[in-house]
Amino acid sequence: MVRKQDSIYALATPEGVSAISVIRVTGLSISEKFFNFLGIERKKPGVFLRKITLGDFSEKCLILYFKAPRSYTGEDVIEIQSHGNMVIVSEIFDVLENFGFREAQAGEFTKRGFLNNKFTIDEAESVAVNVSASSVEELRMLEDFRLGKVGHFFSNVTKKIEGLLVTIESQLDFSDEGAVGSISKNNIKKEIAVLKGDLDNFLRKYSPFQSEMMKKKVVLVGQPNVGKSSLFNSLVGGKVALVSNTPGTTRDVVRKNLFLKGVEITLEDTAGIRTGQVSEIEKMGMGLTNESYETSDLCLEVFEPEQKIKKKFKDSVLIINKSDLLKVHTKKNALYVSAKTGAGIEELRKLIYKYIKPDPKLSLVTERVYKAVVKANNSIESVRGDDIFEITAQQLRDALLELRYVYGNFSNEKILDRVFSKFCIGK
Amino acid sequence: MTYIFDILIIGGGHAGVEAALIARKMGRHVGLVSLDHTKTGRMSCNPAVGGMGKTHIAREVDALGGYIAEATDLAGIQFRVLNRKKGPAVQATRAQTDKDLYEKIIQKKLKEEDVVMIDDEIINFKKEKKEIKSALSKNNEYFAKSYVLTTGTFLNGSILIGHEKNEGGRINERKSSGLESFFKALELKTGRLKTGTPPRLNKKSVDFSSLEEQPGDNEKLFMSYLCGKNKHPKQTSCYITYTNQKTHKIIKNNIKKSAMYSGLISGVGPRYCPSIEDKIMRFKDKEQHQIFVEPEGLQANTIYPNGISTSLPKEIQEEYIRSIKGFEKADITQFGYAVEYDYIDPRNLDKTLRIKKLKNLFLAGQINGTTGYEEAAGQGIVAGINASLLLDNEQWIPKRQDSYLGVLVDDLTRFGVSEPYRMFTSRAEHRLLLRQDNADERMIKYAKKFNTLDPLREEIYSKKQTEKNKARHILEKTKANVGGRKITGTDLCKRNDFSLKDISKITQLKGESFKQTYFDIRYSGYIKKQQRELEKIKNLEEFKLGLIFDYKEVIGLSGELQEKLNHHKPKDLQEVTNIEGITPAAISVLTIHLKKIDAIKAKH
Repeated sequence: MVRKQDSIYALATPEGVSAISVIRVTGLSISEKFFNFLGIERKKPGVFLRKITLGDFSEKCLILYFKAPRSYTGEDVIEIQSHGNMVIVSEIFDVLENFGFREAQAGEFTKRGFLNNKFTIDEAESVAVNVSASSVEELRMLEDFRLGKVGHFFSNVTKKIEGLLVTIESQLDFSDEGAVGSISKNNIKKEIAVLKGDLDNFLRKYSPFQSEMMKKKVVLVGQPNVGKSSLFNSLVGGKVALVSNTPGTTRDVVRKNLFLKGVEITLEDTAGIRTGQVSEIEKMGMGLTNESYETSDLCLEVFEPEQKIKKKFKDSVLIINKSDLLKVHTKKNALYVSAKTGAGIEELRKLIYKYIKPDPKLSLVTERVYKAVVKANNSIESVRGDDIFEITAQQLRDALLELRYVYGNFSNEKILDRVFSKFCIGK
Repeated sequence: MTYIFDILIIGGGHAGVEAALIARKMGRHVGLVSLDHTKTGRMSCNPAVGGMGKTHIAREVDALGGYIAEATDLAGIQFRVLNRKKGPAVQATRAQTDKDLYEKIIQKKLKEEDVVMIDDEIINFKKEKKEIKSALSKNNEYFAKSYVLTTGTFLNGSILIGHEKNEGGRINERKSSGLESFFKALELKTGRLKTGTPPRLNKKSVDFSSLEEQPGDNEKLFMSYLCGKNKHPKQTSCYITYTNQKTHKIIKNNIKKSAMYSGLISGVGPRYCPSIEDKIMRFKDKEQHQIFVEPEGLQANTIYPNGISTSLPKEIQEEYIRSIKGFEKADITQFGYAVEYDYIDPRNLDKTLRIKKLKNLFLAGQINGTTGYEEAAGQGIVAGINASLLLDNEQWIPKRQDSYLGVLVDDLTRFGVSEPYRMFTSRAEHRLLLRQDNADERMIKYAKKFNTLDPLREEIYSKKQTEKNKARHILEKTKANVGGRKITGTDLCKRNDFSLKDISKITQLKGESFKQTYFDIRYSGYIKKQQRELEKIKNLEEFKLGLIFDYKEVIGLSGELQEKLNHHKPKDLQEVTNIEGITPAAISVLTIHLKKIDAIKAKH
């Protein structure tokens, strides 16, 4: 059932200057006047190039019109693509407000789509995850989730459990009817084994997604003045960290996020570590360096050619900067780079990616879904099938209850419905 | 003439009887008005009490001080345990009864307990604002403080056989009229249901020698906790026969003549008790259907062929009956018929079975859309207790987690019915807890509170508890050597590799109280888990929805759900989860809305 409610709009592209901006509107009662304003017809969905009047100027826009119910929300959806200029965008907003649209709340388009049965709860959830997913890699891993394969899995599993319950319940409530046949312990056991297999496979294949879990932290450490900050700037491609010839310029940890082949990493530049007479403030900086190291996924320990190369950080990767000062690169287990000339920087990127790239086999689902399956699995695990059948029934019911959070409510009535349609019950 | 009672019961079926008796036990002055007092307690359908879910209700009624189980013991001519090989949570004692004896016993009991029986027909109520002041018949006026209406299928009832349609709630009985307009004026939602009965056969004309005999269980079985106090009459056997291809052909050829298939009937019949027409049309590949040949009594001349209810014309009934093995020469003493009747949507009632719009009128039994003597008796006792409590401004709501009565009342008042409602054990979420063998333990506190606990029941109860405590103690003390480890008897009960028999051998414990103790322990892990579930549910109960007056204002709910919620007016989120069609998304939308309301409240 498609329900009626007010029309809403939202900017689908980020705020700020860009090549184009996309403004989406959705609603079931978009006024005829608005269609006229855009110069399109309610009956004709499609793509149109239209000049629209905005206050004192006009703007050529690309209009995409999806007619209900064949749209993202299940309602009429219109996309207006204009130049990516916030002045134009806000003029369009004014126009929309005048036509009675209201600005959408976060996630409202998806919610409408869900409520209009355009997708299942896990698909809707996956949209939210998509928006918060921070890299191409994550999106690849969430693909099953996004494509509804996970939802399909749930509908299969719940159907199987319900089927088993129907067999067992019909035996419990209608054993004196003669019509229900007798229960086969072996069949029950077999079906339980299949169910266990399905749930086990799921838990093996998928991992719970936490939006922070995919971000990797890479930290640059080393003695003062070996050029950590210069390297940092080369990697992030800009002057982010302050660079000078004075040792100990960096005191605080400097952070910047960057993408390496679709994986998001946080790169951290730290205060140099040295012994001897240091100021209180430098000491504090070094403390921060250690903290940063402790929480990192990869530590790059930077040296300069003149230095005696001796690792101070366990499991770090050796990087020798200022390679432009050297003729030969003698150390085999180190990577030679030059922040100054850019030599070796590309190799450094590859090296970082090699260490932090995610498991290519990993697939993700949301944490909520994962937990529900774990709990359902616990219930199914304890089913023996050779037990007193009302206990088996109880465990199957428990499993369905766990799954209701991801696959909708189960009701006693539903089981009875199936019993009645399967068996000729009744004296 | 004018009558004055504490409580007036209208209708003398199984609901009315139970309501009247419990109200007497609670010390009220009770009048029972019915069309014909000689038909009080009549079993108008099959002569049997009990079944899965049904026995459970009968035992709870018994433990509360009701009479259905005792009457069954006194009139029972065959007793069996259903699901004997399964666990006790799904076992049920079922009894065949002597129909005539049963109603005699009921009528005798009503007399003994001084229930004032009056033959009359109530046609209207006098009310002031929301309170019923009196009930009116053509010539009399009845004053009472509270009223229990249990008129069964008599509301707009019609009897259908083939193309014949006659007004009435039961064959050869007048229909009650007048109350229809009262309910209409109250603007209560009503619906229409259908039920049916098979033709009854002359016992002497049935050839039992060719039928499969089904004797009772070879063991003294009782429906009531009072056990041997009520002596069974002589025991007898039932028989089984089957329909065949010839029967099916006769029915198929004449299907259009059935009231069910000619469009004469609009009411919805029960899916678990379909007519033979339905069975044959819906399950076309079934070659035969079982018929239970049940005697209507020891002296009675009639038998009840259970499983072939029908609304076919008389001549077709004769034809198909005689196509069945053993019935070749059978004479029909009363033709099968369908009854169509109005019921009051039980969502008009609160959980004490009182009409929400009125202060002192309770409804119980088939009028609420249920079927079955036990379901009627169960509602009767709930309504009777509450009608009595009302005089002290108190009430009792049986809970889902402690009784089938709770499941029954909760299901009815919250979901309404879409077919005649019958109890099944699968309707109870807490099935392992709600057993026929522990109804006394679950109900005793209420019986004590209502003062309806007989001294004999209390004595039997405490004796059983003493035995169970002893058994528990011995189990805890017993140490068995299992694989080199000492394991207590209690822990043995939880294991799958030790049966009841094994443990009995080890501990020397036996008998009913040991068996119950064993299963208390056996189920305890699961029961604990269920209790945890219940606690979780409590959290949802904490989200009170009283501040939402119109769900149309909740953004993000579909129009359909808004309507449903406006209709149900759930008290809290827990009740919401029980409404059909509620999605997890809707729950989260409501949670968010509640938080918003809280935020607004905090501002002011």
